[in-house]
Order: sequence, then structure tokens, then C-alpha cells
Amino acid sequence: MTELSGLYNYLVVGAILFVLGTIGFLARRNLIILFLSAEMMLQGVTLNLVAFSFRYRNLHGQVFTLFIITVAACEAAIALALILMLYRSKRSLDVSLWQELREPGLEATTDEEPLPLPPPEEPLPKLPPSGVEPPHRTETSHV
Amino acid sequence: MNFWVILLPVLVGLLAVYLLLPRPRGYPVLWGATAAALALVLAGWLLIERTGVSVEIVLFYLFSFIAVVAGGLLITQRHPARAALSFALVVLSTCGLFLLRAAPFLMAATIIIYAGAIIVTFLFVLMLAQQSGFSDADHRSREPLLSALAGFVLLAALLYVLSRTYATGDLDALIERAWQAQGKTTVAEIEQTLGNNDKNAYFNRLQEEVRKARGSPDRAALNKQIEDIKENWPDYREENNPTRMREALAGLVRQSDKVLEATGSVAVARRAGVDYATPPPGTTENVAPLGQALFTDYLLAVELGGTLLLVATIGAIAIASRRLEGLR
Repeated sequence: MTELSGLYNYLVVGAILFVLGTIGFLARRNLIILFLSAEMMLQGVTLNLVAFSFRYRNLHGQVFTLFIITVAACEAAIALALILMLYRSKRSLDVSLWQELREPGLEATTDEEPLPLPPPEEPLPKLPPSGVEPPHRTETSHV
Repeated sequence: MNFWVILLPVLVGLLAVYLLLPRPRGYPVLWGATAAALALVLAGWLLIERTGVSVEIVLFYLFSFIAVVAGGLLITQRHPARAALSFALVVLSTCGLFLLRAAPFLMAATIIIYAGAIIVTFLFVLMLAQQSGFSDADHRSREPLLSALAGFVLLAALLYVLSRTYATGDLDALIERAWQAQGKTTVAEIEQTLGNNDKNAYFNRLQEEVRKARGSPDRAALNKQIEDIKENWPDYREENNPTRMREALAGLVRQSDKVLEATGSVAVARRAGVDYATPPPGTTENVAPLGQALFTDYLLAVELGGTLLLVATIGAIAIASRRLEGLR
């Protein structure tokens, strides 16, 4: 008899999503992607809660998930407002521009590796002029 | 060995994420992509417990595969708008998993709120701030090796703890054999169902599995019970006494169900007569009991949630609105 999956499978997927969100939060420099990774961590947590709610056959996990969604929406609103303010200051979404906020003993990280040059644009092809060549007025001097 | 089951997918996944994180002169995408595919195959084969092919496990594999792939794309994409769309895919597949766990209202609510509102708001801000699409910072990542290492060490620790506590597939299978052996009538049939031989192979194996499973405090009592049964089993076999054997097995199944209770094993519920496929008694839908629970047990939390939403709205407007220069 084939049974429904147990608790373990869903907890594993929740753990993987959570850890991927953590790595994205630590490694990326764009503020938007930083925040999306935080939201993915919350997705992993909600998956855990729903799995436990199914296993115990009550609704407590689902109710908690609803509150997590509510708090995530509030957090998204405030975070985007703050990101807009930060953008207005520095005209960029790069989080490395705010390094004066780092801890006192650390050095600032600098970008050492230069970005590769964009590939040179192909020159536009030279086409022969179309139509009849108009008569050229030969130069005559009226001196 | 147990730890290779966890270590192998984790190591290959670490390699994949390290290769795929954006760099100015990045590694070829193909290397990272093959490492990621290998990690997913290993995880799906080694980590996930499955008892047979069913619609539920096929859908589970499909949704979790899409969720993990989209999650990997989210953290390694250079273009932030594509990352936002990958997050939409993560949300959709997580909602599919919610549906498999009997939470249809949560599925709909999550899709509406996350994919419908939060991601759209993100895309608005992104299009406002980065109209050209890429920026220099998108091609770089901060400390790719250290962050990937930190994340995957955390994943290995989480998977280890989860597998010690909740991965009881082997123990389940052994107890299932004991439960079925209760229905047999002769000593020979009982022994055959158990897969036992003269040297108590079944009980030794059972003890090994119980020692590995750490999720429950009743484990010591179960161990003792197995010891007792092992002592008396040759006597039962000599006396040709199936009734005593069945009693012993019944006691064993009862005690081990107590141990397995904490781990979410579906087989325990089935032996107790609970059917996961039918909803809990008194409920045939999901929305009405959820509403009842929210507005009776969790009323204070609902009111506080509403207040939080109001405060967050006011706060977002207050933070982000552009005041006139003189009044700032």
C-alpha cells in the first residue's frame, strides 16, 4: 500500500530553501535580491509549519503561517520604502556603497577585479548608395 | 553509512553554488549547471524517503525540484528582474507543496499575497531604480566561497539533525514487518515474515535502528523490551508457541509506535486507524475551521496583525514620501 509521504521529506525541502536564502542574503550585493532571499527563507519556514500542521492534524501551523505572511507583507512594505530612501541618496541599489556603516575594526571591501569590457560594437555595414547618381556640378570659376 | 547520504549532496551542491555565484569573469555556466543537476539527483535519490510510486510522491518530487532550482536561480542570477521572477516560481512551487499537505487556503493566500503583491511591488521599485537592467554590482558577489561554505555547513547540520530525528524509514519498515507478523499463525510463517533467522538477525537489526533514531525519550524502554524478547525468543521457537510470539510482537509494536509517534511517521497513524487521506473529524473544508480558529483562539493575534498592517502602511508612506525641501 502506498502511503503519503512523511514529515521528513517536507522538512528537508524547507531546510534547503532556507539555506539557499541564507546564501543569497550573504553573497549578493543588490538590495532587491537581498530582500528576495530573506523572503525565500520565510518560504522555507512556512513549509516547515504546514508540514507539522498536517502531521498533527490540526490548524495551528496554518494559522501561524498566515501570521507569517502578514508580517512578511508589512516587512516588504517598510523594506521597500527604506530601499527607496537609500536609492535616493546614492542613486544605486548596491549595498557595498554603504560601507561606512561597517564595524570599526574591519576594512572596507574594494572591487579589485575589473569587469570585462563590453564586446566592441560591430561597425555598421557600408552599403552602396541606391538610385541614380545625381549629376555633380563641375566647379567653374567665375573669377 | 549515514553521513555520506547527507554529505554527498551537500558537497556537490556547495560546488554548484560556488561555481554559479556571479563573478566579473565567471566560470562557465555549464560546470555549475552540471554540478547542480548532480546535486539534485543525489538529494532526490539519497535524502528523500519514499515507500513506493504514488501520485503524491511524484508531485512532491516535481514541486520540490522546481522550488530548489528556482531558489538556486534566484541567488545566482545576474539580472535582478529575472531573480524576482524566479522567486515567483519558488512561491508557486511552495504553494503546490502546501496543497499536497492539505492547505488549500494557504496556497491561494500565499499566491495572492506573495506572487501578486509583494513581487509586483519589488518589480516596481526595481524598474524605478535600475532602468538599464544590469548594474556593476550585479556582476559581483561578496565572499562567494565563505558564504556558500557557511550556508552549506548550516544545511549539513540541519539535515543531520532532521535525519536523526525524523528519518525513520528503515525503522518503520522493520516495525511494519512485526505488525504483519502478528497476523500469521505458525511459528515458521512468523519467522519468515520477520526475516528472522537462528541468530536473531531481525532483532539485532531492530536494535541497531533504534539506537540510531534519537528523537524520543521512550527509546530506552524500547531497547529493553527488544532485549527481553531476544532472550525469550529461542524458547518460544523451541516450544513452537506462536501465541507468545504474537503477544511479544504486539507489545513491541505498541512500544515502538510510542517512539515513532514523535517523528511524524505516517505508518504509526495508519496502525492506529487514522487515515491521513480523509480530513480530521468534524471538518470537511479548510477555510471554515481556519476562520473559526482565527477568530476564537487567535483573536488577539488577528487584531494585533491588523494593527501591524496599519502601522506598516503609515510607516512606509512616511518614510518614502518626498517632502518639500524646506520642511525636511
